[in-house]
Amino acid sequence: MSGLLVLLIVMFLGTWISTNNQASEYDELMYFRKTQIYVAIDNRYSKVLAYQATIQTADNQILTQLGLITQAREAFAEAIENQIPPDQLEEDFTALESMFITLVSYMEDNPGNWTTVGITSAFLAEYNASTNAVSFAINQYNETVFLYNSFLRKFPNNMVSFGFELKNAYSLPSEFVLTLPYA
Amino acid sequence: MKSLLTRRILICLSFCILLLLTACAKPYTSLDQPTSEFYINDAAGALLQSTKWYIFSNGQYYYEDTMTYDGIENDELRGIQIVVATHLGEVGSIDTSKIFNNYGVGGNDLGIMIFLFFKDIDGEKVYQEMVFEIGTRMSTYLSAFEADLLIDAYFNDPTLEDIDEKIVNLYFELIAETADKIYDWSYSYIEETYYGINDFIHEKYSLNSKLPSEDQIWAFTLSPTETIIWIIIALVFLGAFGRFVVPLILSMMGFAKNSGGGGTSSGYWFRK
Repeated sequence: MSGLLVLLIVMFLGTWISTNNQASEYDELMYFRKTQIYVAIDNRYSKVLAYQATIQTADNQILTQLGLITQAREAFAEAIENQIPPDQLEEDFTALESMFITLVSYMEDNPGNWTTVGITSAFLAEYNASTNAVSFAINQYNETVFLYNSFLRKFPNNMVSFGFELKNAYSLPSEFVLTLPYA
Repeated sequence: MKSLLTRRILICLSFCILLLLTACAKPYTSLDQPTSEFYINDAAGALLQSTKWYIFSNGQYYYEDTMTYDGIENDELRGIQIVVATHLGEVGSIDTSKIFNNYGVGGNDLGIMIFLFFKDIDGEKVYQEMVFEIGTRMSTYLSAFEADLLIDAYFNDPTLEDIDEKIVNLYFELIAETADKIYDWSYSYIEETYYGINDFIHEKYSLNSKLPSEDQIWAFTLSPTETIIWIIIALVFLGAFGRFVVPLILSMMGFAKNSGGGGTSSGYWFRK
């Protein structure tokens, strides 16, 4: 009788230790994968913001040049209208030409940055890739949660998994799940 | 009487094995596993032989270059692999991140995998779109933003005639870009060392030989050691009849086999 009791205690302890160890491993993996979600989200924001800044800088460069060209063109048109001396006209013309050359040089030096279509496409690629990375990290985490929960629900693990609770799958907070304006 | 029965059983068994192996015989037509060349898997059968050879040669040499180059001080930055795969079907019909991770593209997570999707229109494979997947560590050197600009400049270059020229050109420029960003290698070194679009155009239609894996009728390859072991097993178990299986086993042997560096993808991909 006492032998049977010892056997039962040994079996219980064996199951408890094994369940505890396996559940702890899942717990660690879940912790790691949850961190990966935050890393992916953080990367997403930092990259997207960095490229937004790039776009703005490029825009500002071009807008500044376009503003100067407009000023020079107006001055040139005004000079023609007022029939000012050729020397003065030449000055305005040189200023206008210089602005164009600056803008063209900027465009030549930054071929990927000045085309609106190109830069928008690149920005969307970054947006999509970093969103995919977040989805991937969430899927990885949720797969682990599924394995962990299944493990805890199985007999005899459900009898001995003290201190371990079922986890919820990760989903983005509702404020992040918005319909895009053009969708 | 007993020996006759044993012999008949062995012969029947041999036929069963032959039947099973023959059923397994198929060339590489899927992305389930990498080819023995590793850097190119034209599962859609859409690329020219020359394109495959150029990608294979450049990819293999680039990997070896990054593994052996003396000037790379940090060993964790060795092992760049760029793999091109083609697929007949829609984007979304295959899990590109899973394939990337199965192949283990790139040592130290420095991998890039380009998937080209084709559609069969009246028997002709027409290029549809691309999925560009960047390995975990590679994403800190090459962002999707930069990759997209590279694709626009070197893949969607209107002077290039077809998909073969586009992918060869992009592949070369990816080597130049990653080598510059990670190792600070000059463009002139890349031009001197690797095949570029001009080399390709000269040989585009003249280089028609098959890749080693395309001569392989099996969807797997055996190393020379594995081949010898299987021949011994066949001879031991099948006796004299085993000699008929030997040519079959020899046909499974792959002579050169590249493999992935164990790299991973964190799902950082975009379609273009």
